[in-house]
Amino acid sequence: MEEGLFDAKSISSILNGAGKSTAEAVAALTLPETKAALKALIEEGLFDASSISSILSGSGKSTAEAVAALKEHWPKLKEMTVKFRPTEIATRLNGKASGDLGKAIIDLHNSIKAELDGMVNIPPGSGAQLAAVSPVAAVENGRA
Amino acid sequence: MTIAGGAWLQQVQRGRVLIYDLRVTLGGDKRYFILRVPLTRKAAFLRVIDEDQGYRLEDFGEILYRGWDEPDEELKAELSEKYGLCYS
Repeated sequence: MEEGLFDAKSISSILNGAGKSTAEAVAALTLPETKAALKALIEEGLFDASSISSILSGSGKSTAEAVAALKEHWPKLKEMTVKFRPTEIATRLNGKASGDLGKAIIDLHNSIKAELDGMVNIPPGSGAQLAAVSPVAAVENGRA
Repeated sequence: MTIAGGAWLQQVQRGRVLIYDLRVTLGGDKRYFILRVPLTRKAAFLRVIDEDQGYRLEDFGEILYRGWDEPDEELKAELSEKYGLCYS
């Protein structure tokens, strides 16, 4: 893209995951409305170009449909990144969006809705483990 | 997510605030939470983890980061550098 929104690696990643032919994916990426939508999303600063390309590459549908889904569900994505790192959300969507990016965004949002609205309740028997602790705690508790 | 750097980073360095990487399964998903726990809540926090009878994370500290599976390498490096968390 002449705007320099995506580097070559990101574009190849998007094309690779587009789920339609390369020609169609390229055509979709170069559509003025697609470019404008992507530019607006990136300029908002919620996700960087790399995260967006990661989301699009896993979308499994056409690039145009995926961009439209991103645009449509932007408020939900925005809400999720208040508590989660954008790269976490992008990775999650990349791994889950096997056919419908919009549905994947809604499903992800629903799965963490309680957490977004309130507190994190750890249920009994969840078997929580400490994977790492800062040094003073490690020394005092013998945990690491 | 905004983390006030200076003041409590000094508290971490002085051992008055502790940073924990907690791993737990929630709703079938493996999750991680990076928690900032004041020293005054440490004993209670470790006790509820051991007892495993259910608890609310925010009762023991502030969640700095959260996500699925485990922190990515970039976050691990940041946590190691900033707070001395050791991932080996």
